Amino acid sequence: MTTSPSQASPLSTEKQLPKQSRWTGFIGKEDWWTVWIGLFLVLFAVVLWAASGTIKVFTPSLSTWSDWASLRTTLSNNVWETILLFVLLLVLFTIATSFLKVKIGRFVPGFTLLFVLSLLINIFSSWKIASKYGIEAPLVALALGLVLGNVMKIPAWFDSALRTELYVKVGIILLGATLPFTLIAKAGPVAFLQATIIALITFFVIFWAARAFGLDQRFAATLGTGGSVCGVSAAIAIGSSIKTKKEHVSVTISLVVVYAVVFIFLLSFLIKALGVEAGPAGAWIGTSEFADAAGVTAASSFGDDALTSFTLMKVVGRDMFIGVWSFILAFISVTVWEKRKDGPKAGAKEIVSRFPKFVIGFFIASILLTIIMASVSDATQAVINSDVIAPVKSIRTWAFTFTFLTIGLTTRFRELTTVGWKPVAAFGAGAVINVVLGYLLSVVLFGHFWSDL
Amino acid sequence: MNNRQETCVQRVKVVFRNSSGKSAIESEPQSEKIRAMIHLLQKAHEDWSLYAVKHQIVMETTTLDFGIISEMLERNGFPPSDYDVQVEYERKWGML
Repeated sequence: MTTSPSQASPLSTEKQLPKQSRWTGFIGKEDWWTVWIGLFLVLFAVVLWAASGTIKVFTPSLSTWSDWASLRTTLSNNVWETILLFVLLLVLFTIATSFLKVKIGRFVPGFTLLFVLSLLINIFSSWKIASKYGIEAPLVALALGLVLGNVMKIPAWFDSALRTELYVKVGIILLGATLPFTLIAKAGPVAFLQATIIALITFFVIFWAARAFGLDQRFAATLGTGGSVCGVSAAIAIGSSIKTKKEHVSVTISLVVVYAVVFIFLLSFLIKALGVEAGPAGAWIGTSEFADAAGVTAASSFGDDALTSFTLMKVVGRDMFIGVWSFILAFISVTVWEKRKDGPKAGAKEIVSRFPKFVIGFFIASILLTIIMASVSDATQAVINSDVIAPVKSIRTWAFTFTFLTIGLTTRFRELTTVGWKPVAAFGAGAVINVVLGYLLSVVLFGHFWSDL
Repeated sequence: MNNRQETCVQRVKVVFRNSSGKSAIESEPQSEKIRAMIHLLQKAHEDWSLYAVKHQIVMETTTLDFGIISEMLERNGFPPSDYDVQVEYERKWGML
């Protein structure tokens, strides 16, 4: 689609240049691929059910085991399901990553190893002793990944399969299929209100602290949105919109990564120590965690209710408004900071172009299943629950297990940018305020709402 | 942590478009100006992708900072109204 300078030099007409289709983004962006894969899996499950089959044949269901004999039994009962799931996911992710210019020869062995590690994690999570002592599989996977990623050098072929964003977004779209749209509509306004209150306060705390420390306006705004809206995704979206310097975006990403990983453990500890129920716990994580993948890891430790309220808070309350933040800050950047009168202006198209595409997939999946469920009898609903929703939930668990492992395996502290004390302090001030406000709103003020959801 | 490590990739696009809606390079006198800007940028930096999208001509690179590009064009007498420098950051491989 592109040309080298030597080919392009004798430019006399635009027709000589290679054309780039306006639709390239639909197959060239990871965000869109999460939509295609997530919706394909949901539609595949629905089509199989409509044809009197079930996607269950692709989903292993490991029973709780306590000794070698029971482990052997549950594994032998799930051999074909495990193999079929592996092949299905391998094909889908290989197609996607090949369009994202990842070498197939590297991705296939890398994904195979990731799948095997995930199988081991899922076997561990169904171990009776692990559940008896409350050893959370997501945290074990994360810790295992962190140790391996920081102690060993990860080979390039394995590295090519470690795509945290791809796996977590596919998982969130699959989660959309298991949530009735009526629930999203019911929780949406509260999630939006709570998230907006905290995001605004956190943003201004970080922004003004950074300005007080003498940091550049754009750097302060990028730090502020990274710490208040949606982590790295916000940092790169805002950094692009307001043209933040590259080194400042780099520093913001490093801070988000370190704080996000620390907060997985910190929030999990605080929730247990304070005895917070699953619903409010998920809302608190959704309010105070910086990144989707990190939040999913923390929320998964507290079960499905926590995962549901986390997703409603993070995806519906925070993530989908990144475009609005981009537009407002780009407008301020051009008109107030630059005081520019000529040249391109900030346009409202920012809101559309920066809308996270996986959120579209999340809504479509939810609406599709809600319509199907509303148009069938109670008896058929029970069949759909068993043959469509339960297996989709099982595949979602696998996508999230890939996420837990890849967060750890890709968070290599030696590869992060050096950060001075000023951004650390500004970001930290916002993070502390965020956690305290997150607790007050999720547990004290709206606790009953999130518990009864 | 290492200060030589970067956690993002900066993709810069210099977009030349015709305000009248005609093909960017085929409408005089804008075409001459666009050719001059393209020539200037190619002389200063080798690693460009050059392509057309609709009625726009786009020069794209990940190896030259956007600040240098804007400064260079302005210094050579091209005001910001003649072009649009767009910046897109991407997370570096594997970032959370």
